[in-house]
Amino acid sequence: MKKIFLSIGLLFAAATVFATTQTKANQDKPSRVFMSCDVQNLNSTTDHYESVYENANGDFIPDDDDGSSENQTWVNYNHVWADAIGGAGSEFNNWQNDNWDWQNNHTSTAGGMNGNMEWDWTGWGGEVGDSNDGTTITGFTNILWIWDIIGNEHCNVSDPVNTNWDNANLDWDDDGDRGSQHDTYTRTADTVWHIQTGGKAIAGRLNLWQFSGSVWEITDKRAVPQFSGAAMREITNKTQIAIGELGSLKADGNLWLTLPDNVEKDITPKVAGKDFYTFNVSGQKYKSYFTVYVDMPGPPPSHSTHVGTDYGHGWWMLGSDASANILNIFITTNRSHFINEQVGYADHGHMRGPGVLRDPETNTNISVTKTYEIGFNNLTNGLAFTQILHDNPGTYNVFLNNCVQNCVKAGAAAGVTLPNDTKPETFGWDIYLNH
Amino acid sequence: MKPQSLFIQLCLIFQVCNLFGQDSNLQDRISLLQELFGANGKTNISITGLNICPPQYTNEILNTNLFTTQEQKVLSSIFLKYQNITTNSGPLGSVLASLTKSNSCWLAHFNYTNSDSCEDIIFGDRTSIFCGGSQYDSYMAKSGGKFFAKYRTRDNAGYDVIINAPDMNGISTAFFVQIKDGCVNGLSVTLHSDGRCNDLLHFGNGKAINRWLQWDENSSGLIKVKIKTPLDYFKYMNQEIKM
Repeated sequence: MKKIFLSIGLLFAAATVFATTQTKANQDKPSRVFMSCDVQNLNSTTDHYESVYENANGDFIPDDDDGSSENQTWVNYNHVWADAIGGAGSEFNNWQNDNWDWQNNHTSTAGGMNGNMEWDWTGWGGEVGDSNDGTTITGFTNILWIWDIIGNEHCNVSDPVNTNWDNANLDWDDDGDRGSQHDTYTRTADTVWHIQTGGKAIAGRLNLWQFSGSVWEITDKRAVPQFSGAAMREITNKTQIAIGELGSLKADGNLWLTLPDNVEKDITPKVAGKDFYTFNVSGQKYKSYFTVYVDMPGPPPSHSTHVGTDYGHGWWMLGSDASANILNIFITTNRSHFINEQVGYADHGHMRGPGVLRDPETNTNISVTKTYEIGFNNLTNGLAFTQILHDNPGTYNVFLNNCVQNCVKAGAAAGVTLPNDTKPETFGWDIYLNH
Repeated sequence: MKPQSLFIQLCLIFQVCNLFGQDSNLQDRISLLQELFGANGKTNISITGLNICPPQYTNEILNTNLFTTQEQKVLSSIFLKYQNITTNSGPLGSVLASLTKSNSCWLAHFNYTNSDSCEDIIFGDRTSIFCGGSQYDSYMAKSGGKFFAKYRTRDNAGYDVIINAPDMNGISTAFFVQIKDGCVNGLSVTLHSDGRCNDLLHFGNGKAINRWLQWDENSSGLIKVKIKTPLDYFKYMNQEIKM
């Protein structure tokens, strides 16, 4: 017998755990547009060499034994920032300068730094690291503003310099020297933006999103964030800008589409054929809703199913955060007309008769109401149902095709499972208690 | 009794309770029937709800337990017969005899070329057509729908049918009533263009007799209304109600 109680106890425990898990899984997540990561790499070297013509008397004549001077530097910068706002990153920078004067005296300086960074959601954060001057390592702590470091950019540039000059080349030499400069410069950088669509991952549900963005091509190859003073030109043909994996902007600078909830997508603006640009991007989610209303003859706590011949009424409304102008991009006006308007199915006062979709609904006695978040695809289906019912209301039948049953059908079209009831009183109670 | 057996029996008891518990929608509709049919709810009719519709009551036109072969033939042809109807183009085999406008409706009269049968098809408000004052006239006048068709043979038999426009799934609904000797006799069915039906009654001399079957579109349940003495169905359905 003990085993039985133990088994029943375990069943209850399992049921409780399952219920708890389900509650967590059903919680809505916020949507957000955020920088996902940023990587920058810079490698450069310079080699500046000059040979001097000066003789022992100070005369400027060709001479090959009075020495030369040479200056070499190299810089390597690497920066990785990930995990979005509230994430962490690191950077390091190493450089070295070697100089030989005309008497071949050699001096060398070097330095570098390593830092680990963290930011909170405001964009402010700190960096802890160490710097060195070639011999001594010193620790540091800095307060950082994320946008001082990150350029919202795509960069893949190479800017080498290979030139030689002599006294005939006055662009490089104004005192009769002869020399050369050989530089390498490569810089790559990519800032990646993502959206998390938020909500719950409900199969088949899609929400309406609006994306927009701008891109400026940077023509100064050696510009680095924050690109102050760098030469730029805006990409004015918006159709050249692709929003990550989602598609290209339209000519008006917007990209409208539907996305499922609880997914993450790359929305980094990309322009084919451009090696260096900075950008911005934004995205907005427009939510859709289904609201059901019930006029109960006996509102809670009463259970009266009717008062005389009044059995109550049920009706609905399809709503959206998006304005009519936006919705008209996707929905014909004879359907968008029903947005944010209460409508209900009824007859003209008999148990059976010509049906009519009250547009707008005239009943204002709301005993119970409940709003359900739905997808944009559900919204369009719900509007289709409503418009078709409006245009072809058919025959009202109190048992087979009444106000409550059409609420249930409208809900089903909009992806909402309402209680499968017939009477407004029962419908109201079931929504009040269970939905 | 072994503990394991006791546990299994407890589980079975839970299962059986579940099976016997009536679907809430069936309960809701049964109570509405009882309320709206007033005194008859307690005396002249008895109502049974079944959560699972037995196979012999499956709500399909092709169910031979519900419909005779002749009835199946007529019901199956309804949507096809009227799919291309206009005010001057009638069912296959008929020719337009007259077209008149009466108040807010058009009445097209068609004669069949291979028989003495004829057909009136009414588009629009039928109030002025069904003005005889009977409960049936009142019922049909208020029936809504895309159009109404009245098929009659020479001996005043046939049927009345009201066809509604398709819903968002492309499915139309029709209300079909058999007529003999000038009044409702035989079948009364609300049927869908996909071959299902919503309710089924039988009439004798204008009154509902034997049984009334109702199915629910959103569940697998069945409501059986046993009619003990002929029921003035149209009178009840013409009652005023606010819902």
